[in-house]
Amino acid sequence: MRPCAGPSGPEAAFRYQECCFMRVAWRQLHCISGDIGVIVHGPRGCGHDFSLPTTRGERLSAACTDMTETQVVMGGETCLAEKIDALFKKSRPEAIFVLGTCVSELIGDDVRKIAALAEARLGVPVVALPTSGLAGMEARDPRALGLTALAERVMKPGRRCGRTVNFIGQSWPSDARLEAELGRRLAALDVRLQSVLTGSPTLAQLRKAPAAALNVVALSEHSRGFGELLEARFGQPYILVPSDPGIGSTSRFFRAILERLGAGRSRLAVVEGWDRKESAKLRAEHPGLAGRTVGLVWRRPNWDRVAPFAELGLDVTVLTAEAPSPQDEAERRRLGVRLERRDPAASEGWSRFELLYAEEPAWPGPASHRPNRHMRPLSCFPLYEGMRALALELETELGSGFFRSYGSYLA
Amino acid sequence: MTPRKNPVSRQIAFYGKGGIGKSMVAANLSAVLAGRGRSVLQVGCDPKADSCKALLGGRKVANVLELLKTRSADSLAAKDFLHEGFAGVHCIEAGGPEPGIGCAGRGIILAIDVMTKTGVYARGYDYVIYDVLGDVVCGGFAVPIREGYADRVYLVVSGEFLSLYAANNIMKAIHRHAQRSATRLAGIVANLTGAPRERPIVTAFAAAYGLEVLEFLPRDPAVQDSENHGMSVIERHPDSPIGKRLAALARKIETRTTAIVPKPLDDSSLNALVLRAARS
Repeated sequence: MRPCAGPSGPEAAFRYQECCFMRVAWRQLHCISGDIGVIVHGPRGCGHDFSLPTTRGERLSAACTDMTETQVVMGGETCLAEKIDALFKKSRPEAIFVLGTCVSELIGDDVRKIAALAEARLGVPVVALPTSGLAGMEARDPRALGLTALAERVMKPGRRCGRTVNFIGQSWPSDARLEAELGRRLAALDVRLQSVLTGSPTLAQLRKAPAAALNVVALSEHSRGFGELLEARFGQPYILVPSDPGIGSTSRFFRAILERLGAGRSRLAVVEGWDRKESAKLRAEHPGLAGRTVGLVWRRPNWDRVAPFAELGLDVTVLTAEAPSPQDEAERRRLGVRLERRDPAASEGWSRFELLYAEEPAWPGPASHRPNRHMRPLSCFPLYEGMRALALELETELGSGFFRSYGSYLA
Repeated sequence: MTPRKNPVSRQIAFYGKGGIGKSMVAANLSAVLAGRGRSVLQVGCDPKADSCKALLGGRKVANVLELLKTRSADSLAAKDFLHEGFAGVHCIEAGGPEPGIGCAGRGIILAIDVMTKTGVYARGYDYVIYDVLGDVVCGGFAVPIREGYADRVYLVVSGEFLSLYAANNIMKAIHRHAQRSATRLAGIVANLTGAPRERPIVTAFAAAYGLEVLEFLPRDPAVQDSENHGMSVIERHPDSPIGKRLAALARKIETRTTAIVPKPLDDSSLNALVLRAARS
């Protein structure tokens, strides 16, 4: 998978929410490719990294008003109006978002009024977002703020088409291969993929999204919020689907969509066929994975993430910090893996496993004591394409022999 | 803020509720002192930029922040915003944003910084008189107190409760900044409105802080007439009763040495004090 060009997208927004309200909203808008403009109304420091490309590698039309002290004293409304006009003249975006900052809020610049006047002048939506951090993070969600503005100002209700779905996820499928697979598989099930509102959607995708019959929401807090928003605004129902890699997970994903759209048995049989075919293909393409010892480190086991390792025929041991529950025991038996409550670094963990994967935050205690700083982070991609990527990654990691040799050294 | 080494001998700030008559008192004090041969600088710390109008024949002059709209601070010289008024009083208006936008408090900080950098304070005035907007609504308007630009503060009050309430608030600012700043409260000037029992109320108010009322300024049509003509009372009606009172006030301020760190009252004590004085 191609890594993101920089920290952006809704997932990054989650990480950034601790630092600055405006910045989180910025990350949210930063996911949208190409055709919007964003202006930050504040001093230069508030817009220092706005030249970052989007996840698709495009450069978002963005600008900061770079407020000076004199503008702080005398008001920065004129400066903002000029900046909006300049951005529009330069990039001709289809919509412009204006993000307020602590400074503009403190001095009482009427960002909404300036945006409304600019909208009337330029003929494109100019949306003011009250994103000053000083107003507090508790009562408002900066991610929802950006999405609500999109839903209210950019997306318009459209004629509903049957058997069409939008996909709403976190950052996947940001890779074109995943998006292509999703479209291809859905088409094979006689379902049309209307818009993919994740990764870096374009404004055009957002605009046509209300015409879909169903929103398919990958399980995450962020995605669910957007699903609820679209349901409230456009009456589009949504379903939650698993977003983990794995044959079983992908199967459940497609089944959930088909069941909601009322598809017949023949379509479900297609999915069953895919499961069999992809399982066989994976084992044939990666025969070296069977029986290899892998440790998965979690504070509490995430069984959806354990499943793909078991499906690949690996010898899996789940190491947890907390006492396993009866449900954990049931899941362990279902997947045929081992479950141990122990610290791999304090026991013979290093030498027992050929590979260790960890999910952050994996272990309690100070960061310096966490064993996972020596481990590979687990990156998961959905659908069969994601499963193939995971198998390839495991093969590469196991081939490097790093953990085997490091374990021998420690022993 | 650049650290200052201010060679001027006396730096006075007038604070008080909006519309209480600070600018009138400040302009007339400047006029009296200048008339006695002192070198005086009056600094208007109000976005309205009208503190020195009575010294400048009613003219509106270029103020510091207005100039900063089109020019950088480095390109400014004191002569750009310093204007000579009646009796040779030097006048500066800090200026500020249009009503409803910007940050006037930050403007005061910026304007005083520019004045410092352009060497205004190094000119060695005998008196620098600050006329500061209304209440101390934010940190910017507390700069003359906080940064020690003013060593003596005079409060202008009337017998109305809200003006005393504002004065008590200003005392809170002086008290708050007393440890880091040498600014002290030197006295109270009563600009009477004609309200009932005004004198005893103001006297009791001053006594509660261990202060005295330096002067009771009665309502006088000479004040309005002078303002209408863009002049100070000292210039237009020097021999009027109010003119004589203002001249007496200037003498008292010139010779006054007492100054205190006030202990502000809480709201209920202030209420009780005013009620008591009004009934007695």
